[in-house]
Amino acid sequence: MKFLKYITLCAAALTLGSCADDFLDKEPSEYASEDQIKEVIERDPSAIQAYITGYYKNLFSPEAQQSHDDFGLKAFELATDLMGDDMAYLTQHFFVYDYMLDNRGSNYRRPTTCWQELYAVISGANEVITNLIGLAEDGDETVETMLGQSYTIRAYCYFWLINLYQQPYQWNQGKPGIPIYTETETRLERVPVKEVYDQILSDIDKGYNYLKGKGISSKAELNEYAAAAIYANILSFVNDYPDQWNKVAEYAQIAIQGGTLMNEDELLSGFNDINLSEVLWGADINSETNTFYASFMSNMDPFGPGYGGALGNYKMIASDLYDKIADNDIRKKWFGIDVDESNSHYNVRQYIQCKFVDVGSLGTGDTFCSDYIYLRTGEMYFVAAEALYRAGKTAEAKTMLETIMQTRVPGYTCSKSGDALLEEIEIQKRIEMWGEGRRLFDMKRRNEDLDRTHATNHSATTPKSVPAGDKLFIYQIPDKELNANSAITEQND
Amino acid sequence: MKVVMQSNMHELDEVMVVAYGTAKKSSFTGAATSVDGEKIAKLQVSSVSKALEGAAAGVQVISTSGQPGENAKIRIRGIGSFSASAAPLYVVDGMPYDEEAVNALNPADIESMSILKDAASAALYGSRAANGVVMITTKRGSSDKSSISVDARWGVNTRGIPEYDIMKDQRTYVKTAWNVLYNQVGGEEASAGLINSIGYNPFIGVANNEMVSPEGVVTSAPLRHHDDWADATLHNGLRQEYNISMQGGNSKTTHFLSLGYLKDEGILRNTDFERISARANITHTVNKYLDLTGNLSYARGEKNAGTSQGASLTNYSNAFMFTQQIAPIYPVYAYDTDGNRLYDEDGNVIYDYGDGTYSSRMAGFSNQNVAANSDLDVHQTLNDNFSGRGTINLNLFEGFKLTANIGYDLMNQVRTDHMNQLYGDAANVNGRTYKYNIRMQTFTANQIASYAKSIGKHSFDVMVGHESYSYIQNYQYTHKYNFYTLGNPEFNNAITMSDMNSYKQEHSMESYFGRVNYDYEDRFYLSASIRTDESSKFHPDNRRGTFWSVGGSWRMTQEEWLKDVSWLNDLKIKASYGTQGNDGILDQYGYVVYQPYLKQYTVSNNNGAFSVVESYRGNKDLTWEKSKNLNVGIESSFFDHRLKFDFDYFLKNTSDMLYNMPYPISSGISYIPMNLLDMKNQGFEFTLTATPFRTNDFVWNISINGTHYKNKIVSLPEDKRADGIIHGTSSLFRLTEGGSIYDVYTYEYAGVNPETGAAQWYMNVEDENGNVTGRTVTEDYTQADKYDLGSTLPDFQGGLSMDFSYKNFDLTIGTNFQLGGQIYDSMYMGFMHAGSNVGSNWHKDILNAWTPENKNTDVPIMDGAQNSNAQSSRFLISASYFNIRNISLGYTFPAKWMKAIQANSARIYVSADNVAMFSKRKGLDPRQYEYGYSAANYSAIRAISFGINLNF
Repeated sequence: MKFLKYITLCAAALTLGSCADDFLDKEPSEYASEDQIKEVIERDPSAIQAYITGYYKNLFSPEAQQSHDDFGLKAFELATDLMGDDMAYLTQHFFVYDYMLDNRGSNYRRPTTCWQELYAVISGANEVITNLIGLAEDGDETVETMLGQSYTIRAYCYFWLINLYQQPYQWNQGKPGIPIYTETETRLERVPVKEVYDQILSDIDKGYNYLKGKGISSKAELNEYAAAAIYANILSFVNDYPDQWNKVAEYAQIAIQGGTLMNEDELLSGFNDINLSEVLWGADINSETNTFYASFMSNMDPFGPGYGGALGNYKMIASDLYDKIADNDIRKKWFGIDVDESNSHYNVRQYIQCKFVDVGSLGTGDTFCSDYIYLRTGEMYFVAAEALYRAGKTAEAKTMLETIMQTRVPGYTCSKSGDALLEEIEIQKRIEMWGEGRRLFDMKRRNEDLDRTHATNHSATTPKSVPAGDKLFIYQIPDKELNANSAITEQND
Repeated sequence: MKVVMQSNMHELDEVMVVAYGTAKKSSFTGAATSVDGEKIAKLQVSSVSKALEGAAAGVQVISTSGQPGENAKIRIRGIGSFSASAAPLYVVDGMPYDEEAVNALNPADIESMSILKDAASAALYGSRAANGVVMITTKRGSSDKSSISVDARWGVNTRGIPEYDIMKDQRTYVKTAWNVLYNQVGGEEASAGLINSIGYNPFIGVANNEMVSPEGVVTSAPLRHHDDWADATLHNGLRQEYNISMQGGNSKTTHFLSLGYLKDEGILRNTDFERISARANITHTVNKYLDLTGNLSYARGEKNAGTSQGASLTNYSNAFMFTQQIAPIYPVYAYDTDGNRLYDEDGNVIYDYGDGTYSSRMAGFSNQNVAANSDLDVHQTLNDNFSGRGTINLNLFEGFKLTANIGYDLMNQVRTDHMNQLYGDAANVNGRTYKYNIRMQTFTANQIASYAKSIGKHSFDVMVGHESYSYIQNYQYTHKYNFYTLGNPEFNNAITMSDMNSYKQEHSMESYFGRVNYDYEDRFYLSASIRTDESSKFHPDNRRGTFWSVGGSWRMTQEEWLKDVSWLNDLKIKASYGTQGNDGILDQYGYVVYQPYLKQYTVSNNNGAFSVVESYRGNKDLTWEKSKNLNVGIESSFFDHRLKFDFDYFLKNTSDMLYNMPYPISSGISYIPMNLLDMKNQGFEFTLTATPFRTNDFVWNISINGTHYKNKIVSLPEDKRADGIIHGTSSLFRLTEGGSIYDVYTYEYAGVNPETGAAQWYMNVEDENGNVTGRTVTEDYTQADKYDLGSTLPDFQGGLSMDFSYKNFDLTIGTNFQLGGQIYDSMYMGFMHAGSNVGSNWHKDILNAWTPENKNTDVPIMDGAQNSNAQSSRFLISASYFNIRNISLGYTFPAKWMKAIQANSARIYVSADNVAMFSKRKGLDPRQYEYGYSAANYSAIRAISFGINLNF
């Protein structure tokens, strides 16, 4: 009897440890698995939108973020602006090595994050294209919008990459470029520049055409006007494109239709809101999605608590460019602030930027919750003007210039012609786009030397003159790529 | 002769705790070391993991942090894994135990710790024993006598490792910063521009451009302050520990009950660890068929970690980085220009955050004050640890036994990280709190049948069993900012929601195992075991791993021809071979991955829309990492057991290593987990104990243990063989076939160009075909080449301890040491900038920088060059050290006095931990760094305690 009792007891103990069928099958809950996502998409194909939202997010809040000087595309824009001649910087803090043209080594953060983050966005775009390509023929608007955004963003990322890691197209078509990943092929080697541009052009053309006629549903998403703007900027590099400058002008003018020119209030509102009337595409950021100190405004806003403000690392306009701003130009108010006297190491306050001011400083939002602006129509007037001029349509170019400039300088007219007109267009664009990441690429495609000798407020220790095409204008391929990719055999000097 | 026999009997009776049971030491075929609980109790450790330092051969203890309550990392016989956890498996009272909860164990409750090192001893834990097993056995009651033990100790905690030899003199600092400018722009401009460089004028009544004259003479004006950051931030902590236990029982039931209290204050203000623990271990024999064991323990742990977490040099809220790296000119407290300290209206000191309010700072130190924030911020971890073990033994008939064990461990953790709204990182967002609620439960159940039988000269026992293991972690994280009242870190006081996450992680395993032991006449022993596991971490097709071991030993002293050798008491040779596994794959940040076979995406919110971004690319083919383990050893005992010598040779081949294979980052991700590398750890270890002197009054014991091993990468993936694989912090290391896991591969410093003072590095000279024909030096860092600069792993590690007793006095001295190996001293590198980071401090070695008058130096000119202190062999330093781990002196009161207080025994003692540490560079503690890359870790604590122990 007793024996039986113990055996029962034992059996009970045994059952404690016996296993249900799913004992070893565990589903992740911290992340979503590929299969889980597939299931969602099968049930509702529009759920693929999450990949698109995902790559947009990756563009301002990167998964691969390493440091407070990295916040995706806006960080790359700021870094390239600091590599040019229009931005001056005096302190030894984040972005100083960009300003010194010494943030390019293969083991440095900047070349690594630019590479990794832009390719991560490309990877996200490829996932969308792979998933939707089969449905492209159906003419479904949602599908086309998704595909259009994905091709466009892929084009834009490759465009940034090829210009960060190789010299400009016009003189370097045969040089080794960058790896190419698409929905159909993976080319791990450094694909020649020419072929990279073939891919970029093919993508932006598909992207623009899918988006064409669909309007703007949200400025946080790429749309037909934003795609046209990207198209125009890309074509500006492609000197052998048939009828290049007429095409650039055409797309720039399409982009212009995506917004209306800003008035004085808007121009002086801090460039922190995606709803500004010129904005074509940006990121809508709030207290849940912001990246705090690792953000654009942290590094720019002179009034805020961030690196560019309370921590004293002010971003300044180069004095020579500042001197070229007419006194009655509204944009002159983008520069010059009262700096607390106790910040004794600062004595150049008239050049400190206040174009970019955080919503937190203005009391219109939480600290560092400013939106990011990637593309706006203001730029496109100058792109169109330059293109029209180069296409020989001087009068139209002048009209284009005057149209925007009259909103910047009351009563503006331009009487210049010839090279002087082109120079005026270029100078006004530099003023207009200061801090928005256009200067370095413009220098590159025009084969301009870096010349910082005319400004009085550049740091004593930074390079003053660097000839166009110098290795300092491109990054080395990151070690993290080279260490794992044996198909790349050539490194930049 | 009689004495020998008694000792022999004692030896025969020595029982060891082994996998799924106990074994007579004499019959044991594996390699294991036992550390006695009494030894552990002598130390002032708040986590028992730190007690093993120098205590056992083959065991390396890495005490990363001196923070009270922090666990140390244990590595057994080298580093056996790469992208997977290299930690041993912890087993408490027979059941797996979570490493993180080791600090919940009260060292006073521990009977013994056994470290299982080879396949024969650990293979039964096959699945997770690839890196060895630490078995912890808690105390039990004895049936013959009841007793109560009371132990109380009080002590002082002081800084165990001094600061680096940094510049403390403000005038020297100012002059050095001036030199940096002087070397670039000359004296006039240097004097004028100095304020822009250092951002603060520390002198009273001196114009900003007159701090240093153009000739380089520092003003003799008085200084505004004499603050010392370390003094303001650190203090001496109090340590108190009280333990009371009672044990006893009768032939049916025994019990061990204990209560413990520990309050261990750190040397950083507001850091401490408090533990209240209780334990009840009960055994009960119902009748000849049935006996039961139940162990229950509970511990409440509260850890306040202050602003010390995250040892990286870019973490400005880490006090051990901040207090050493900040330039001495910057004040801790607010001063007016005349050097008067400022107070608020309530008379409290005002701290200076260097944010421009009172002063400005350079190099990232602004807007932070670690001395002030340690009072205002909260970094608290609250743990409730419950642990239960239950055993039912059913002795059905002679030799046959059925056993069912269950073990349940629960850890509830609430962690709060609050950054205050007044100063520092979170001031601009009005305060910030992160909260983590983590619940971890581990449930293990096994059922074992065993049968033992002796037939003539043959004895054997057989055991088979089944085990299921499951681990569930519930995690919840919330982040809010914008706080209303001061000093309340709770969310009800905050209004802006930033982030909220929760998830559940699960790991489960199902296993079957069996073992056969055989002995012949107590002369020959054989054992064999097998275990098969299925782990939820792998794809269903690759889940199963089967591990096994065989071992044998021969007690030669049982042979007729050795029995009469009087000076030889015991001699045993043994050998074992077997396999073990590891499924503990980690991600790039060192966190456990629970489904490494799946491609995974982060789902997050972007303005009310779903955002999906690939975060992990799993590998369906991933499976067990396997290690094959050979052990050959002898155990011997001589001269009445006054000399004992154990020696083991080991060879551990790890294959199919879990490895996060770097993947081209252009693919969107940076690595994929794979079973790729093969690695070998080969070496020997020994333990020598001796009693050189023994009289009735005086005994002197000495014990030495030592370990030497070589780590070698046996094979790399084919496409990596030529170039190797770069890895590790700051890409400092490279794996190559034939090299070790931590071989430094970086630029080689070639000293200073004596003519210009520029730093130089070596670069290859190549002929026109690209073949390297030699090397030369370059001053252009980007042109330099990387070279193999040897392994950071030590050549030899060991421990030496001695104990003496004279009449009623006892003295123990424990030391440990390491020979060879290197440390890449990144702290020192930070201190040796050539002016590129003015505002951060310098090591005094910088005073030897090149000048036209001082050409014979290896410190480059101070000219602000960014690359001057760039990564190179210049910052490698020997990792050898000698450490006096513990000294304790006790006095036991004469027995005759005891009657007066009705006690059995009473002892008073003084015990000191981390008494002295000798390393190659002041401030550098090689014990803190597992693979030789220094950081700003919380210094080890020197604890000196006075205690009293009473037994009733």
